[in-house]
Amino acid sequence: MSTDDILSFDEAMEKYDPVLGFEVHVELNTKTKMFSSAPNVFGDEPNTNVNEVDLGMPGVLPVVNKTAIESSIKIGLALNCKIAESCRFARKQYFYPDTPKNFQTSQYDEPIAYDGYLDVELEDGTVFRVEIERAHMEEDAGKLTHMGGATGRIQGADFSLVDYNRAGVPLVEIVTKPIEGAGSRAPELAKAYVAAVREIVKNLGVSDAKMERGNVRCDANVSLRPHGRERFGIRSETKNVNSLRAVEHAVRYEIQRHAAVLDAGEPVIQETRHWHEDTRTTTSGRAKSDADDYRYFPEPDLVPMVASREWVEELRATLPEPPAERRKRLKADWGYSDLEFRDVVNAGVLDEIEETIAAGASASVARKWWMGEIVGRAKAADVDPGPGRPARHHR
Amino acid sequence: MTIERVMGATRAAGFGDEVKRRIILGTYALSAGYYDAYYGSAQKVRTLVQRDFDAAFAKADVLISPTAPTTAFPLGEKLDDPLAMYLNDVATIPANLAGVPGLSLPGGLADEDGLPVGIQLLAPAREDARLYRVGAVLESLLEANWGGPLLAQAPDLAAAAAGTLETQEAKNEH
Repeated sequence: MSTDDILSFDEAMEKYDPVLGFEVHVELNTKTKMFSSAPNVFGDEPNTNVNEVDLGMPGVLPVVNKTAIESSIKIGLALNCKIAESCRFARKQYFYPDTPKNFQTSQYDEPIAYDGYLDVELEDGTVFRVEIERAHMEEDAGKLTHMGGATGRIQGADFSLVDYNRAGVPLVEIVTKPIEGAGSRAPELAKAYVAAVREIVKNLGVSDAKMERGNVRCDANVSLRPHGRERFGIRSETKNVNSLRAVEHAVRYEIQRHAAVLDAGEPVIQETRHWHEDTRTTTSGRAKSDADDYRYFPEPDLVPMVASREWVEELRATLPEPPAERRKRLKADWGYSDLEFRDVVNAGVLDEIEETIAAGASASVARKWWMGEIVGRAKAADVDPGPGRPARHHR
Repeated sequence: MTIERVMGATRAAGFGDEVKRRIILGTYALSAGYYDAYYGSAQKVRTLVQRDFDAAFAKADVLISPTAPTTAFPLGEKLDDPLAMYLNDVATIPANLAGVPGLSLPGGLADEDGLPVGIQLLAPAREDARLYRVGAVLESLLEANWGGPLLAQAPDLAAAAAGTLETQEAKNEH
């Protein structure tokens, strides 16, 4: 497998202006699936949480999961979106072994939420507004495991196993509008955006939000254009970006790769690429689905979903304090400086400090304890100081 | 051996001609560039059909018609003419488009060939119970006329089979 040429990041940024786009899929933590009563549970024996609806047996009919709709509306509201007064599901048709119905029930031209934004704060305090095109409801596919090959991918495998436990799990797909103006902060912004979305859905309680489990998945779109040109360049889509760190690295790599291609006078190929965490590179997957005609049409087995304005406002009233707002409030309450507070957030010990203060410590003592003692020890042991609950032992 | 070949072979072997025909028609009607011309337009026409039925049910409690335009044609006679076969559904398809319930019951035997004729009743959406009430009355009146269910007038099947065989043999000699 030959490696692609890349330009240094700095050189790429000198010559080109990156434009980004993200499709983030959020798995909802409903008790049952999007259109069936089968359990929505991670980690069980393969093909034990499936029923005839998930498997697309002849004559089955879907029934919409109401909690999934509520969760989708909450996500839309948290992303400052408009909520559609009426919307429908649509069939996205294609053949693949992880899709037993031979179509995915999704939403096409009538998403439940649209035209929103998310203000993303970067580590140095810069705030960047990412515009949200839409958030729509759909169902997940089954999980394929490829056996016998060297890499675990389909290329070179002898056979594949399919687990349909995941087929039909509710998903919300969040699509950004093209993100312009990030410049050299593009990789950083990419990571911060996905982290912010993850934080929001976790805070809403609608998803377990564990990226390592695929609860939050990100496809990163990157294109470059020469500085000053309005027209977007050709974009590539990168999949298999399974962690926040991978998001940042993958965007950075694609910028460097596109720059090398453009510098050589070649056109960028519009394609789907696969991120490899081990080599920190992308490889070509398949040519992007301009060739695929999904033959979308409104799902005839489901009636339109009407979200009355009263219901939307009822749901809005149940939303918890947004994480960004909470951070502003805590910083003001605790009296930390900008830098002190940013260090606390970046160290991931915000919740721990809040709990320590609730247990009776002063804000400044709590900070000194966590940032002075614990973070130092965590660094030495090469672990995260935060979500390991050491606070329980040190109260 | 790829998944596409497995799927292709399974579907080619497992689906009959009529199913394949409808899959191809559906795929064509939904394909990029054709949605508006076919599926989109068809949805609009369906709305007109629904309105037609709404207007009719404003003036009538049930609608009544023959269930099929002809009596049953012999097995295999129209296999080469799918359109002629589709035309036989002309009385029953509108209910599917309009989303209204329908019921078919035996009406009698046709004068010209002695084969059974069905009577179709249609009622407004969710008024299925009305079909049972009207159908039950009609059925009991008809059966009173016939002296029992229409099925009692069906010919002896064994004799009928023998008769058909003869006719087929006669045909094959031509």
